[in-house]
Amino acid sequence: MYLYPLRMTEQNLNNSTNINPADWVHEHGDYLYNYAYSRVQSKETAEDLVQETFISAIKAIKSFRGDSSEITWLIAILKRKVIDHYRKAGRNQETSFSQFGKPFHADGDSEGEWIIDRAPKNWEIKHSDPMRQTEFRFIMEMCLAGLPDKWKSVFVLKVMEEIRSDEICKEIGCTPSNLWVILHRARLKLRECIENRWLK
Amino acid sequence: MSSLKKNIKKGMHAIMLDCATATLLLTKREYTKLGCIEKMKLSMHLAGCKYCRRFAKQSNIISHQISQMSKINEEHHHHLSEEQKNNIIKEIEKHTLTK
Repeated sequence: MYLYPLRMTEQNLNNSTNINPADWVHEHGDYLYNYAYSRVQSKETAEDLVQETFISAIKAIKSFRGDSSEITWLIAILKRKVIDHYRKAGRNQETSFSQFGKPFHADGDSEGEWIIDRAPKNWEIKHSDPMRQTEFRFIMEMCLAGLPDKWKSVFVLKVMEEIRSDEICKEIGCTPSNLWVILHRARLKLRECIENRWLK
Repeated sequence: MSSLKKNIKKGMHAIMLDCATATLLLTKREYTKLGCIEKMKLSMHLAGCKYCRRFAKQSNIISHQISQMSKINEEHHHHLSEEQKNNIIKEIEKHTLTK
């Protein structure tokens, strides 16, 4: 009964009584929305995830002990939602794997070499030009959005959330060597998509 | 193809990577450390293949841009509209009232 220091109990009480959903949404809504959008590349999905995050947070408000900031806590919940989203999406995506033909010769004398039309061209990127930087970012977001969910999920989980490979495989159902293949195909496709739009 | 030619090609493969394998290693390199032999084979391939050198450079750019994208900074690129916010608030309130 007296397990918790008094201060903490007070804080718990404050948290559960003072929460006003409207304040929460106005204060943290955009931040969470940006986080979600950068990871799912879809406005509707991002909005849903933000909403689910707030609802889960309200339900679990007692477990928020104030030893991290409110926004850190909310982001942690949102992270979990993003992973769940991709786990669900990954299940019925097997077929999309074969839709993208590799840019390498599949047989013959030049097996494994670049197909010349699809080999990397010079991007002529100058880092100093902020306008072109923004344009590049825009193109990349668009290309990322166009990837099948399962491919996107490895990007997001591996690169953005820095989750370990074996954990990703547990979530989306793949073997570690399979994960490299997915990641590689995704990067080949992303590269080609960026190039086609960038040099247009 | 004569069998001699085939055998030479097979033998070369043991030392020389093809572009498909080289780019796979380049992808791996973005996330993890390569082994000694992998590194050696890769640098040998890159020395002679301008397309894979370009791929390597572009791969770096993509990784950098993605990690930039995942950092959320103060200036938001996307905003929830007032309507979206109000919808979310309504949904949350449903859940707090039923508790």
